[in-house]
Amino acid sequence: MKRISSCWNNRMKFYLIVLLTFLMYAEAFSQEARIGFDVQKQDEVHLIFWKYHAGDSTVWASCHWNDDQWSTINWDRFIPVGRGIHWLRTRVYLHHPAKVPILLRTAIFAYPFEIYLNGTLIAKNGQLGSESSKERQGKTSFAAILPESLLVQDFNLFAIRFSNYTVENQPTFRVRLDTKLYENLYRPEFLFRQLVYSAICLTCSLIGFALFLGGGRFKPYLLFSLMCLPPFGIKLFQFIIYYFNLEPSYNVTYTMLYDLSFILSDLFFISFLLFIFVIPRKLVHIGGWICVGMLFSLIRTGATAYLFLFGSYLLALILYSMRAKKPGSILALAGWLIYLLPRLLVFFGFTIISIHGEISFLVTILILLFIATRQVQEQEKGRRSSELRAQRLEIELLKRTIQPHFLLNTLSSVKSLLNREPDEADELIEALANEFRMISAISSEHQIPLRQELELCRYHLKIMSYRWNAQYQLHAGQMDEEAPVPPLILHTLIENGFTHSFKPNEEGQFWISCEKENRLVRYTLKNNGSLLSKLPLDGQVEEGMGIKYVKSRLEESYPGKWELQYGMRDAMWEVIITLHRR
Amino acid sequence: MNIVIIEDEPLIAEDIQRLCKSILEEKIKSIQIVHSKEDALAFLERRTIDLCLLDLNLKGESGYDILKTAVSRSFHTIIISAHVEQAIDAFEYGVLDFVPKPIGRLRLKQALDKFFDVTETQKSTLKYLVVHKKNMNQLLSVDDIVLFEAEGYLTKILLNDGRTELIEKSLNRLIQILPARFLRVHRSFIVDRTHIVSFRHKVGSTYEVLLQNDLRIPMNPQAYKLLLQQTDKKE
Repeated sequence: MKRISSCWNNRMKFYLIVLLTFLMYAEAFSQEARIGFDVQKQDEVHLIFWKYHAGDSTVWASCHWNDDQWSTINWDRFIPVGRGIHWLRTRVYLHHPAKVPILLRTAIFAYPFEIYLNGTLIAKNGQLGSESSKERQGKTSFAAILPESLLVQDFNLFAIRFSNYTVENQPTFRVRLDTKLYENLYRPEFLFRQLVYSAICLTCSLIGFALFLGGGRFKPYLLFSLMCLPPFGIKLFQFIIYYFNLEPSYNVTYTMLYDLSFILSDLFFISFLLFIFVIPRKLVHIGGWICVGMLFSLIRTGATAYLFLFGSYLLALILYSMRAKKPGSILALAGWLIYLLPRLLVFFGFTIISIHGEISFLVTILILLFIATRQVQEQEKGRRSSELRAQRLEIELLKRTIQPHFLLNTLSSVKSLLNREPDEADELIEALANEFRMISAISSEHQIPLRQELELCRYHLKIMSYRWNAQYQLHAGQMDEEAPVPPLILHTLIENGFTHSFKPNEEGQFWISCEKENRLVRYTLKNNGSLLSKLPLDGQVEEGMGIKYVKSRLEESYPGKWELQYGMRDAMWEVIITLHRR
Repeated sequence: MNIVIIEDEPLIAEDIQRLCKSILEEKIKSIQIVHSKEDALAFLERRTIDLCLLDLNLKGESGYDILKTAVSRSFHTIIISAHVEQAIDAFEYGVLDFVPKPIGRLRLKQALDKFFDVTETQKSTLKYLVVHKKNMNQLLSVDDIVLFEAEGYLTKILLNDGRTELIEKSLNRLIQILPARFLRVHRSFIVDRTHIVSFRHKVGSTYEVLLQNDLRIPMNPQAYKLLLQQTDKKE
């Protein structure tokens, strides 16, 4: 796991991006692909690459016209030059005589057009004009049967003549040949698929929403639910239009909504990943993508740039998460591939049927749902274990202070004093009561003001002073007494200091100081004592329960941002706690 | 009697001293307080005493090495500690008693009474005897012991495998801490009764015990009567 992700970080990321870029541009420049149609083997063929020229001439319909000087365009990246009449030409090689009817279908072709086959006009969609008012938009989806008499078993020239006064440009269009005849423009199974797909999207969206409501308002569930809504809307819309034959004339609002729904879905996908992988500054990312999305849907061009930007951004996001070893990031990479695969295939000119896109979307959302569910489970586990730890620490705190032998030994001292010095016994009991009162007040706190901690230490030293028949003093340097500290840390360290420092009846001094530097706070606790000289020279002392308690408290309050050092220095026992600030 | 109190907290040590004096009164010949582990080990090396009152936790350190040294010597040891969970271990090492802190006067008196009570074998959980050998303490499992035989000031221990060891404790003190299956059959012998094969009346007032490994041990009339009673009960 570690090796894979580190490997991904360094080289693979770079290579992948380079490879993608290369593929995108290499394909874009190798347009002169020979398109053929083998009616015995193929159902359909997509006409992707066209020769384009602005202007108008009847000669351009002819198959003898040499269009080598024309510019080559791809159906996903096409902007006509200026307003007026334009021509598109392409050749298709027919492998066998056309024994079955062949249809030419167009989709999302925004302009009114005429289609010429080997020089003869065979169909019209809408009415071309010399200005906007004379133009009439055609259907967004159009089909025409190619007359068998015009087809030759060789190269056939398809020419499209169109005008763009009403709609200036529409960067993508679809033209294909196929052999499937059906009454309606769309096959029943196609309609059925739209319905099923929209139903699945709706179900996923609802499940996501239910999980969001029932799963502690975990935001990725909501984003998942939202991500499924645009595809549902589109497919339902398409189904209704196709089923009731309501196919509208081409209009900009419709295609813009269509594009926008994709961009919205992408935006939710990104937000989902941002939330699930806890990426910092989420709102900046989301805001940025809203701008990008709006920009692209407004200028209605640059589909390539958008796809490239979106793909690379997603990949960067996922690789970043993989480096941070976020759970589910490798799965997300699979999701990324599956999500973008159909779009990339189309982009590179491969023929895909729309079901590929639908299946890949469904697989992707399933992966995302899986990641989200696992994340919730992980969080639940983490929450439970941190709860358990807090409980354990609280018990530990009580055990540390109300340890039976501490109490029993103190009581023994009280008992002894009662006989000799009743007044001192009185004071000792008072100090003990003070310490215990304070401990019971703070026992469930994760942090207390330093002032309280120092007070606790002083009560403890007072008790010890009576017990050991000696004076113990705590000298606190200049420090912020309201600063929060985990409870009983200094107290525990002072208690530890006793065990190996003083002989009975020996006076003892403790010093505590605090230094603040740029990005850290350092507490230093020192004490003297004549027994210290008997400690091993390297200052190695067995790590007792006390030190373990201090360490787990520090980890609870400052996870990963603390250090604890202890040992002999200048004949003093010294403990240094360093807290790093982010 | 000579008593030493090993206790690091001055107030508690004084309290123990005061209680001992008030319980034992003129029976005490000397009573001393030692505060640290080092002082305690040195003191035990130099002085002959009868009873050691020992706190097992000196300055947070475990007092088990003092305990092992103490129980290997001729005197008895009573543990005084706030850590009651150490009592089981302490008894396995053969301490006379374990008095929890804070020390009640009655509880301490019971423990001190045990010191003078030589007639009855107590309910004992003793598992190990510690034998002091050239600066090191060796543990003997009580289950491996066949018999004890008085040998001058010392006591000879005979083990299952035929080996013998010497221990500083007298038979009188041993019988106070040994489990009930050990029987004082003679002025000079304590025998694990599970090893007794048979016993018989020899001539006049002489009696004899026959052990598993064909050892014949002299026996006194009281022990003979006791064994006879127990055999009758069984039958």
